[in-house]
Amino acid sequence: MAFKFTRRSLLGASVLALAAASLTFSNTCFAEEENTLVVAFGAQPPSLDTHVTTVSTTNVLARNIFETLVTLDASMNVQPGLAQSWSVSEDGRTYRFTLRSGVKFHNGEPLTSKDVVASLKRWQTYSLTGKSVFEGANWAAEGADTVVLNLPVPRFNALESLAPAYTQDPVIMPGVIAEAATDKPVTKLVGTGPFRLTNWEADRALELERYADYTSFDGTQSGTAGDRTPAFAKLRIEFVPDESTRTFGLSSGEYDIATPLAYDSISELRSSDELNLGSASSAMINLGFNFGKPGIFQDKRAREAINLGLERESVLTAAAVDPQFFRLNNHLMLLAQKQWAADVGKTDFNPADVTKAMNLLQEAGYDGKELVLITSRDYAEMYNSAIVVQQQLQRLGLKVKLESYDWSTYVKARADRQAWDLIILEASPKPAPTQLIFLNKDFPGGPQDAKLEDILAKFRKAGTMEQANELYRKLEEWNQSYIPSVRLGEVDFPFATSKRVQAIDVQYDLMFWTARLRD
Amino acid sequence: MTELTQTILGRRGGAFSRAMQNPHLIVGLIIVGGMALAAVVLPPLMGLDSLAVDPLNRLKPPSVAHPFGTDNFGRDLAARILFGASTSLSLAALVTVLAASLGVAVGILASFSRLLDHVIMRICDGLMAIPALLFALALTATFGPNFSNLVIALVIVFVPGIARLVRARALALRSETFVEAAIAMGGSNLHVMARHIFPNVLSIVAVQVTFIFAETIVIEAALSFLGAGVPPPAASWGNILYDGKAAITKAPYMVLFASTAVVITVVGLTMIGDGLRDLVDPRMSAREAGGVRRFFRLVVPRSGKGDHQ
Amino acid sequence: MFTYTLRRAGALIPVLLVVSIVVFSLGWLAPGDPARIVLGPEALEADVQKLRDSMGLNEPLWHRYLEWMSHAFRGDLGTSYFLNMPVSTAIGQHFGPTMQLAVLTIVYALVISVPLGTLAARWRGSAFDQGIAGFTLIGLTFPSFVLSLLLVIIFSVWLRWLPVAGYRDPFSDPWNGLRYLILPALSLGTIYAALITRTVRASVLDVLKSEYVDAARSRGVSENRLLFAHALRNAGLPIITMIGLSFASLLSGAVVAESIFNIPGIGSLLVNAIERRDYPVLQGVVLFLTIIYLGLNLLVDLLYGVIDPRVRLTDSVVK
Repeated sequence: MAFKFTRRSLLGASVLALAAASLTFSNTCFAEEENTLVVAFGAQPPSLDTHVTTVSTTNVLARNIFETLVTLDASMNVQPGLAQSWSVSEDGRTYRFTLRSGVKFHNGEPLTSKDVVASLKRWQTYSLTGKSVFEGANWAAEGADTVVLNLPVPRFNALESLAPAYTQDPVIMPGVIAEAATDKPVTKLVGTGPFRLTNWEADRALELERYADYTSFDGTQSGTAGDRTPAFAKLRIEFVPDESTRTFGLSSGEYDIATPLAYDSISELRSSDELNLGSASSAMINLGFNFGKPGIFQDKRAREAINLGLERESVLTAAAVDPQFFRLNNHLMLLAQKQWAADVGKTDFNPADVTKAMNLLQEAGYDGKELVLITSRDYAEMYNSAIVVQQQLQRLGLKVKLESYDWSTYVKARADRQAWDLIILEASPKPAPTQLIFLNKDFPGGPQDAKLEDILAKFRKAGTMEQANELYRKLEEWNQSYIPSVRLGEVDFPFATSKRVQAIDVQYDLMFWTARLRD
Repeated sequence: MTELTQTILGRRGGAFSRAMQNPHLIVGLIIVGGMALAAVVLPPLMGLDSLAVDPLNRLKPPSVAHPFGTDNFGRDLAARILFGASTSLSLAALVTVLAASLGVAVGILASFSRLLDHVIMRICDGLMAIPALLFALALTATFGPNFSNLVIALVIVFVPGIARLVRARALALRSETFVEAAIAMGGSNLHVMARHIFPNVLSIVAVQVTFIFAETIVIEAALSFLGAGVPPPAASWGNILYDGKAAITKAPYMVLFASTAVVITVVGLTMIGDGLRDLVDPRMSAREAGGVRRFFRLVVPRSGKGDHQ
Repeated sequence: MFTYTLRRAGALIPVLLVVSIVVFSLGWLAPGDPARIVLGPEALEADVQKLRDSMGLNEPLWHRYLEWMSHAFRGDLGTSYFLNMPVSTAIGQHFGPTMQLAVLTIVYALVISVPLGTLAARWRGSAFDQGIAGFTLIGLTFPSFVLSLLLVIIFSVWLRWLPVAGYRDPFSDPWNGLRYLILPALSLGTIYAALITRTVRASVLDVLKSEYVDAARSRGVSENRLLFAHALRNAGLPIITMIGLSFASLLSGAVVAESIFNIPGIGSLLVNAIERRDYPVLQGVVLFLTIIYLGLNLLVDLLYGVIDPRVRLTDSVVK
């Protein structure tokens, strides 16, 4: 055996050394190739089936491929989508949708009323919104282009619930796929949307191209409504779980858009005039009590003590660093959801009154028992709030043990009612308060209160927005006196675009088809 | 062999002076001892708190008030590194002691029964075929992240290797004249194990133990770095590196200080191990075998075949 | 030779059996639930339980184990819960980046170690030799993930020469593909460079002391020619072993490096599978890595026999 490789590797060494010496920071822009928009996206969602998966990233990606019956314009008014028009019966219980003509699925099949009925039936069976808003509803096809929805009682938000949302969009897929599908996510991703999925490299990238036969909605683009034809040919979503890689790739020109960004990188990115910053979506951060486990927090005074004693500003600073990306808010809905009144309750809800809190805890009979606070380390804002909350609770005289888990274990631990007393909960915003997860009695540790159930039941049957808003006030009053959980505030998820992206629109999250590229 | 054991255990007068002539051992002991001493003495002396957060003073570079700067929660980094030292060192000590005692017991036991030997060694082979770090990662994911579970996971990872080593030495010892004589004289199994085999495997175990100690420190750091080690907010070197990685562009000193601590300690431990090996088995070039073996045990599935004798 | 190979391979069966049982029960014991991950954090427990049923997760453990084993024997490792593809396809997709990284790492390690080791042997005892000894000690003790972080700080954060992390396919984009792999290869390779340097130095020294080198020297062959043409060539056996072992460990041991540098290789696949409780992938990958490792080990042993007929292959190594 001769070892010729030795000499060759010596030669190789010098070549490599030369190469290394000539290495400079090259500014190669893949993004500019072939009119492609390249997005550095956080983690890959578990599926792209919004009917079953409740993750918001599923929604953001799926709505490039799939579409809904109706849409929302920039002022959040309901506009046509796959349904060209609709009529509502006198009693508000029957909706008749006329489908847009000429719409074709990515597999070439035309869109018919059967597809819509099959998709929405599945969505109604499995999605949280479907179950909550459309309980007892019935869908029927009339001819090829008419879909009839029958509700047992009128609902103020029936139409809105069929529009895109933060999570679980009621998307339309071919009837054959929807009928064959169970509660497992569908793997055939065929929609009518502006982009067609061409390749999904697991954990690496999603490649989409502009759908050649796309039939757009009428009017100019506004929110998810109007003309949705993309101005670029290809969309490449790269899954880049590492925050610093996303940021770095953006500044080096590899990515056009990076979302979400690490809060710590904001100040650095802001100083660069090569980039634009924005917020893509938001979440509510709550400190939840466990109503499924007997303990101190069954006593309202103890819950009030926490509500009074926490200093939310530093919690949110630790969570989201930059004041542009967090807000104090003691209401159930986001401040941005202006359709819901935010005038209930006092404005000074963050007194950080340690003495009063300690007195209340004493009244409630806190005996020094160790309380378990759980959080997940996989989401920086959750983990960071938990650290500060734990410190503040200890200042109130509570003995708090922080348990921080990876996401899977966190969710499992949360389901075990005996495993925790307090939880850091990141809840996604919902179009209506009835769908908020932390008010759901079936959610692990959720509040069990007859008055709440009463308000929610009435709320679900509210026929008009006025009735709904009246009930929302009642719900707010209940929320602020009962304190089912302590609202810490809302955080935004920042994104940044390179200068190559002239404009991109946000509704609940980024709408990639609205991006306009500089050439 | 017994002589060497006695040397190691220091029963003979020459042992200490021989140890004193071994520069590796001395320097290693000074490094690791200094680290341990600092971890125990400094925090109360300087009034350090590794958990006190101060979000408004996040990621501040080193200053007089915070000689190593502050981390992403505004906690004092010097305090966290010192507390991290005691976390890492006590974890490593616990794992080493438990793994060594269990490994010695299992190894000696295996050498006394053919059937048991087959069963135990197959299980050891299987466990050792899974790379150590992966195995520890899977175990901590399974047991859930807390200190005692981490200890259990690491003990499970290290026991098979020690058991194999001890078994091989014990089998070799059994054919030595003095053990054969003891058996012929009707010594019970237990007597032979305790009186003859046990003292004579201690020397190789002693060397192995220092390397396991170093490995535990590295694996703890790696596991915590992957988010599966010592549960935060407790300070550990891996946790500091984990937080530091997220802030690497803004506060590279976090990673710099924590890695320095890890490297110094591991170098110190390796020197102790090499020094001990020189004492135990002067024929072997200590640095050579020690380093290589330590390395391969760490990064690769540990094949047991090298231990057969 | 043939029976020896067969017997060695046969000895691997109980090992693989133990591995499969351990891995399978770990997956079962782990808290967390793939059905929950699929449905997302806000899904209600009742829905999760229903999905568990349809995913077959509520079947008894032994039943699932036997089913998995019987399929595995036929080469079918099952289907991932999340990736919409068979586990074997997922392994195939993720093997490329790991392999490229391994090759680059070994190349780097050899480029460093062969000349350094040889020269250290040539000038043994000199200051150069001492320096090399120091370097190898540091190289061996420096945990590679710590080294990667330091390299990132130097080359990406301060100098801004190389990307922090990420991966490009070097075949479709060689220049950037290489740039992304440099830091991972440097951080992984340094430890191997140290290791191989020592091996090279030791084996070259052995050869230099041997009689036939003396003979050649007495014939007036120059010292450099002696060193590179004779000594190095004949010192090949331990070096080959080291390369084989290093390669085996690189294929399975790059978990942390892949995670730090965000390289979509086997290690990332495994870490993701653990995080998502993707049991089929977890089991498949660990089994695959174990087979690769044991297989390469066997290969190295067999190569011994081929390269150096003096090494007799007997069963003494196997019990």
